[in-house]
Amino acid sequence: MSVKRCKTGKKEEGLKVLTANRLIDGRPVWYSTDGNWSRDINNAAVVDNQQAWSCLEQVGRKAMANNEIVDAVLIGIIEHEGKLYASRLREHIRAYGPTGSCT
Amino acid sequence: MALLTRQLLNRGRCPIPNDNKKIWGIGGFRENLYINVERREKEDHRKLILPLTQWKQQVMQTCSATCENDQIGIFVAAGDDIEPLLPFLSVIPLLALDFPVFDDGRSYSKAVQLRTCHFYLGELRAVGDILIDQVSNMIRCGFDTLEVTHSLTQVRLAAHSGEFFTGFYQSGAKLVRSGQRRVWYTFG
Amino acid sequence: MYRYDEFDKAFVAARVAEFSDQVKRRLAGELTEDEFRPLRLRNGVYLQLHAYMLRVAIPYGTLSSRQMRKLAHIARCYDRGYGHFTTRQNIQFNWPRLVDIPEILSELADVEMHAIQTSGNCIRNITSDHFAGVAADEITDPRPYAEILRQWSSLHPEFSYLPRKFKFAIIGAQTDRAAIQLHDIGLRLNRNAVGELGFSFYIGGGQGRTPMVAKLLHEFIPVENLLHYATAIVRIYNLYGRRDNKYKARIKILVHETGFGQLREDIDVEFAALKRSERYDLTLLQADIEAINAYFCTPDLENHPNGRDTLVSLRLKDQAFDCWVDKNVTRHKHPDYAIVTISLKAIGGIPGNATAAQMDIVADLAERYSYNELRVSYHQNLVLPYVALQDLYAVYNVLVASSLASANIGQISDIIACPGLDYCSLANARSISIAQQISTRFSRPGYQEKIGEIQLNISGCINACGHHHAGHIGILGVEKKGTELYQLTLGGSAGNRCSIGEITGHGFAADEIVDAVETIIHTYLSLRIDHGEPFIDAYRRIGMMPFRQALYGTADKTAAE
Repeated sequence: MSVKRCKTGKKEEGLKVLTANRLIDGRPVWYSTDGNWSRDINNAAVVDNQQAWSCLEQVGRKAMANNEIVDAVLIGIIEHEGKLYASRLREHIRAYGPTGSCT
Repeated sequence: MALLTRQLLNRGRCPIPNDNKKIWGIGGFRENLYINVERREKEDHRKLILPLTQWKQQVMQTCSATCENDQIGIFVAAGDDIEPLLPFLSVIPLLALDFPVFDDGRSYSKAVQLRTCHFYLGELRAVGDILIDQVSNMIRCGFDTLEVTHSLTQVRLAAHSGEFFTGFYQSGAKLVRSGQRRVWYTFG
Repeated sequence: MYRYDEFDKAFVAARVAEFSDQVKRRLAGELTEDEFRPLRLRNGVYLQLHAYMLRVAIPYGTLSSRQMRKLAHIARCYDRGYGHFTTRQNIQFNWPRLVDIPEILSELADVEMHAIQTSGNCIRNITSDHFAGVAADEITDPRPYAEILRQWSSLHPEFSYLPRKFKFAIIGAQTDRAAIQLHDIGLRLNRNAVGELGFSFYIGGGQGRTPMVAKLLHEFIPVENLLHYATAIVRIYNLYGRRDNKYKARIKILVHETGFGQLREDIDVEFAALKRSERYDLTLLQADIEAINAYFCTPDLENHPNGRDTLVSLRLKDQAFDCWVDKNVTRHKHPDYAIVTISLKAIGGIPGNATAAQMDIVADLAERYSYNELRVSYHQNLVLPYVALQDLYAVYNVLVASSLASANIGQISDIIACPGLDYCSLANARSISIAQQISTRFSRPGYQEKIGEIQLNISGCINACGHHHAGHIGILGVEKKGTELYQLTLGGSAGNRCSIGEITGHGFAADEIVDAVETIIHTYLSLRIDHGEPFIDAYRRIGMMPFRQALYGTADKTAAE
């Protein structure tokens, strides 16, 4: 089943992507439009309806059973000027890294 | 409050017959001589394991040192107190202590108490959610046998024998104790 | 310090092998995540926001230069070049790969370090006074007993699946520098009327959702019964601690719900049974204690009587050095020596972090000037415990060159902060950015000096890993309607007069909280008796009202919420 990308430039309720952590190194990943797990949230497959959410959740369960990833979960996102931003600050930090300098 | 908590956690937990159960101890797998039942019918002379509440009702009250008692072991749920059993330990052939989930560690303490404070000499059996990673803890706490239902755990146990220390997972890892006696090293 | 014998080495090696096997099984799908989680936690491996986090144990906060160099090497080769020292005297690495962790553990085992029991529902690192063995006010070094407790609790077969984590802290001095009254069990070594050594036991302290100050459980347990009593307590906890609600599963809740008197009785019954048991003899023999004691003898400190004069004249010449000595150097029990605290609280930096390069520098300093020994403090700083007075200037200059010489120990910028939302998957708000802003705000020359002694602690969520309840000023970050909000507490304290802070009123936004802190400070400065009255004393004298008034324009608690 194909998952379509939403129109850009619109802030809508109910836009979601599937995120998880890679088993092997714990890095955050997002289920992407090409069917892989990407390290960049901007490659994520965006879905906007219940059926598609359920479909993605199933993808997550399968990938967990396959030991590729852990803790798969749908999160809300916003599109702005062509980039994807997580609705929650926590997820934003997961996507774009710790704020401030690292030492 | 503590008692209420214990009752809550015991709800629904009884020993249920399960075809994939295997009994393991030092030396390997062995025949299960006991049958788990929920209550004992009259004239049932098989070796049984009864839940504690049933045992209290059906056996303790009629308890005299008859040879029938040799047939009856007790399933002790994680939240059950062992206090009521203490006067009867010498006639209880088996105590099955429950691990309802693998990270519920209450039965380890009961096992140690039964062995070291109350000198229980019968068979201590660990039952419930047992994974290979708990085996050495169980043996070191004084369990004689483990009732294992987890298939991978059964496979791993079949491949090893003998040592019960964590060196167990690694063939040939023998520990040499240093010259001093160290009471705080609880390795049995 | 303690050196592994062949038994300990084999023990850790077996443990590393076991965990390597568990990692392999997990990666091969033979273990599910639910089955693997408690096993990886038992080996100090968390899954955080960006990566796994590995928490390495530094038993009672003591380590050698060799061990510190290994930590630097791990930071450099398996991580992003830095590590974070915690309030439990451990170190955390934020970026290891699961697949590399067995290798990391193997490298740690080479220097007698490990990550066993740094997380999970088991007995955690035994923490202690970071000035143990050298403090001028010490009765006796607590670390031999910390080491005994460590060995006793490592892979204890009975206590590996407790209702929740269990934390011990032990001290041997008059001053409590290890926050023992904020631990599940706190121990204080002391002598009875006839001079025998024993422990006062405190039970049920903690932070988190329900912060509590520990209660005195037993005034005096003779040394030989240490393990009987410790076993009795943990056994009662294992049997009766709540397992239905992880937020109510610590021993402090058991104390509260059972009743202190009843619980103490239950423990005493178990204690008596253990003392009677011949098959399970836990009596600590004098010979065994002496054998462990031998590892903790003070090194043969050379006398350097001229050091004192040299120091005086250097302090007169170099004002910055003078300030550093005043704040970061503590009196030693040997007159020619001093204890140096290395500040990991650079202005604008991340509290408790050290780069690999800094760790190597500090290791070199320890090797050259401190008999190879280092400590990690409860406040997330490092300590050189044996520095000759004549060497202080040389040490200082090396620290200055590595940004490790902020003269701020015990000052407002000596902040205790958890990693917060930048790293931690449990967090609701960022703590590091607030810490950075606060230390910058108060960095004007002379400002910190003027404020004087004060402890400011920041937690990024209610789990309180930043110990905000025990801060003279505490900040708790929460999430409200999708944004960060910061609550202020005042009057907490971790030491001898242990107290839990009181909330001021409603919280502050991220761009308001630093101003709020400055308001608190101004209020204090205007109301203190003089410079000799530190913040906590002034607060205890004048109470919350003036601060609430200054923050909200009202002294009324309800109106301020």
